[in-house]
Amino acid sequence: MTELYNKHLITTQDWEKEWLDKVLALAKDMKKHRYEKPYTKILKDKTFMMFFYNPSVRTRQSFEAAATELGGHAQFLEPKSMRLKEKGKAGETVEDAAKVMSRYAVGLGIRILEDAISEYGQGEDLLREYAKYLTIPIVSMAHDKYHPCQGLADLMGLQEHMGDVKGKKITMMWGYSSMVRSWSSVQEDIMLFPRYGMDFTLAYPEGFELDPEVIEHGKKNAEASGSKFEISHDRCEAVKGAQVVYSRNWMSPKRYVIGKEEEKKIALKFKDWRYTKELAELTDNAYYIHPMPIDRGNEVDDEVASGPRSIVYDLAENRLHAQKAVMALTMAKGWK
Amino acid sequence: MLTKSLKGKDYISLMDYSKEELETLLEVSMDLKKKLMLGESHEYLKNKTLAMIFANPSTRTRTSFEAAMTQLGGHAQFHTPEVMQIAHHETWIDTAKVLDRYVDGIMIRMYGIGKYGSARAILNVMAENANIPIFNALDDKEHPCQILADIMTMKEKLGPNWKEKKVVMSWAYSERVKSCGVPQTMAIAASLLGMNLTLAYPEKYDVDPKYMTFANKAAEKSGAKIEVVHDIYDASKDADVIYAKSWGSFLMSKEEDIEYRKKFKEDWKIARKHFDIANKKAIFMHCLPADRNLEVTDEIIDGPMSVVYDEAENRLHTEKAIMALAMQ
Repeated sequence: MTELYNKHLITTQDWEKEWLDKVLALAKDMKKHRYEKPYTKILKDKTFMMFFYNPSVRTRQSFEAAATELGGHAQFLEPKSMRLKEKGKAGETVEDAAKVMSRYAVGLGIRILEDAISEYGQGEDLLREYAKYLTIPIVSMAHDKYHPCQGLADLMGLQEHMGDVKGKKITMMWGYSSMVRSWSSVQEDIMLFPRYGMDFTLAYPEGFELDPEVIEHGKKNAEASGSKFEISHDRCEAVKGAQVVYSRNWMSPKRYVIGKEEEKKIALKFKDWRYTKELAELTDNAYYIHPMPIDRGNEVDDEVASGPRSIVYDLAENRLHAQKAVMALTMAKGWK
Repeated sequence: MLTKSLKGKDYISLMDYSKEELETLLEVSMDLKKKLMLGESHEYLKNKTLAMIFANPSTRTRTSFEAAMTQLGGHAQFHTPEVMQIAHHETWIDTAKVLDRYVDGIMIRMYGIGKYGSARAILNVMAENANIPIFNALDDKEHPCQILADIMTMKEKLGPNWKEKKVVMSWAYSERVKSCGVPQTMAIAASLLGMNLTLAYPEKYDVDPKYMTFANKAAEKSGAKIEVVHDIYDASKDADVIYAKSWGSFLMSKEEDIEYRKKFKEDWKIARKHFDIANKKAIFMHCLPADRNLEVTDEIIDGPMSVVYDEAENRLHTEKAIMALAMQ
């Protein structure tokens, strides 16, 4: 087994499946023995740095709690108060910041989404630039392309409820919202779930295409695991027989060009794309999942989100356990 | 080394420190660095809290102080009190008195809030109104945390005769007008410890004369050599350390300064040509963040002579020593 110590986690796609299995197994054990040794001592006296280019609730709380539960401390940092170099402005380069952080901390998390960049891919480029100069591991806390910790938490939750997910049918459905949401969470799962053998159906109104490279990865992963990968523009057809439904808003590729306000107007045309009780009846008693925050009444009916098949809080909790497992394996060694 | 307790002592100006006290801080810093390396527990500040007040942005100071408290077993609180930025003494007195009841030490970063010395006045007011120690994490006069880390680095890199080695603190070109806290504090520390310091800067970049007066007097006692040179090539000759740092002039407005300094852009950007005339084993230092290719070329700051990341790391160890001794 490869040593995961010091490995960067920018997307699960970069990692071998057996590494992901190791994280999932540890996360599940940590969930069972949450406040027991050795788990409470793994990061004792150690510091985890969190750079938030974009605001966040769950991510900050779960990463900060993760460091605390492992016996360490997380520093909440906003680059706007750090004199970092920006276009046309003097400041510290990524190289210098990365090398100094490597001397103070055992790990660095970065969150950077579309509101902090001007072009798709810039967030990912920034993470990879940090990775180049760091001697400590970096973990994505969601960036413009991927959200590996959300992916791991989602998969962990499905495994807990369904056992082996191989051969299970999941439908990921675009949902209306004026929130103009990121691609990170959905793109992570599009690649990750087919690797674990789930039959994947992606449903969205035309115009809301995602990164073609990600779709390509999803298809190839499905092929390798012998599962199906389909794209549909008919939500009723798409949810038929599904065992899991993931309904969530995402922005169109035009967002980077036309801006947030114009993007909201495009989405308005598809207000009927909501995961309703009626749609839920077409499924095979599907579990409902969503990375939260949920735009209730738009992306999904209240009664579905709060219904008996909704497992959204379990997945939210799993963020904590999955992140603890990633941190324990990549930022510390010799504790087992 | 000194065993007299430093408990409760403010760390605002190095002028309030003796040679022995500075040497103690350096010894303890080294000891804590070794303990960290060996994984030995050193929770001298268990259950204690440091309040960090940032009136100005920072990366290294924030991250190193907060990590320092974590390693010492305590906790650091991050505050950016927008309202406290006003130089209003009543507010600061109340803040000091209340924090005194909650926490075990206060770290403050504050500069550029009006005329030179205004930030220092607030730090002094805080110190007068709190029994707990106040740590100066860069005000408009000094940067004593940086200087202790710098000197620790020199001690590590220059060998047993480090105090005799020629340290050149050089003014460097930047598009921003920066604080003169670093050269002023270095002059104090070097004069107290008996070091060999050359301050190199173009005409009109004299530092606060109070610091030079103190340094010259302290040098008489310690045997330190403190020189001022206005030619960077003269200064670089036989240097063992070239430390680049940009700072502003006391004699000009910001706008005038920005114009005036342009003529020094090429000569005062630390580059290969300076190291060609320095001692063979000379090292490059910078307190970071560096304005790359303005203050120093990439070739030098990324080259084998650069110790800037070791220097940044030592911020952590020295801050731990300062706090462990004062907050115990």
